[in-house]
Amino acid sequence: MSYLIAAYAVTLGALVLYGAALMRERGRYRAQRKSDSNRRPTN
Amino acid sequence: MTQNTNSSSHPTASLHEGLSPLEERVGRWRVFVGVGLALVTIVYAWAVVQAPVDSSQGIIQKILYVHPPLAYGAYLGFVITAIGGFLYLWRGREDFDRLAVSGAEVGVLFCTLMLITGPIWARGTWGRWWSWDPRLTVTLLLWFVYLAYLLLRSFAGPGPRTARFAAVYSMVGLVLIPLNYYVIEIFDNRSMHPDNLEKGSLGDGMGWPFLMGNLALGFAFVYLLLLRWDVEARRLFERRREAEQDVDQ
Repeated sequence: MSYLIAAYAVTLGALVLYGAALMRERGRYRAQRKSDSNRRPTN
Repeated sequence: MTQNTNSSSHPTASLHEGLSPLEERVGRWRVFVGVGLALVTIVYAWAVVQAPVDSSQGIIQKILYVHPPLAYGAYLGFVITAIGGFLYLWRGREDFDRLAVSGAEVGVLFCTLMLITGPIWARGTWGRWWSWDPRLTVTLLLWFVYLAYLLLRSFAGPGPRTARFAAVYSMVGLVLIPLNYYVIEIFDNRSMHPDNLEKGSLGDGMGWPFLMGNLALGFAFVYLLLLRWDVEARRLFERRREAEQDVDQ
């Protein structure tokens, strides 16, 4: 039973962590673009 | 000074946040894929719990509902990498190259998980974590080949030269997929690894959870691929923008 739980836990954990890391990176880039577009032109 | 003063120097600078029209269009599907993934995952969990316990292996046999679907996801990732590479060489569009990188990364993740769940299953049934049998050895080789692809791209940095080389490399590496699949038959069933699944080879009540496992991990694969593709476009866009700002300063 412990082997079975380990296999599913590793798979689920890795997929969720990878997805969360991608979402976080995407959110950072989007925030950066938003902040750039709100910044007043300097020239 | 205005932004994107060097926009003519690269084709993506004028695009919305670095995404090509194809990437923007495909990115919209991700929401629907995410909803599908959530729904299918609930049914998948229920199906695995309800699945009958195998009379010879016991409950550990339920790893069947996650291990082969991970393998199919890995194959799919590497096929997408080769297709993306081929389209990049043919059409010269960077978004196809970004698709190739994304396919390789998600494929390597699935292949890694396959290489983790397999030994867990082997330990419970064969009594040992690893055996140098043909299927396992070729799978490890496949993993190394696409891990090397990612390392190559990471060390060489972005650029058309790297993209061209990576495209050819990914297409050559594809040869390992049919070899990996048919290696058990090539070695005349002398492998410890069970035979490839065929129609009717699963026990009663095992087909449904197996199908749900393939659907759930298929949805997870597509969701992560689309997300990774989106991030790759934004990542390159930000890198280029920063480089332009450095030049301007």
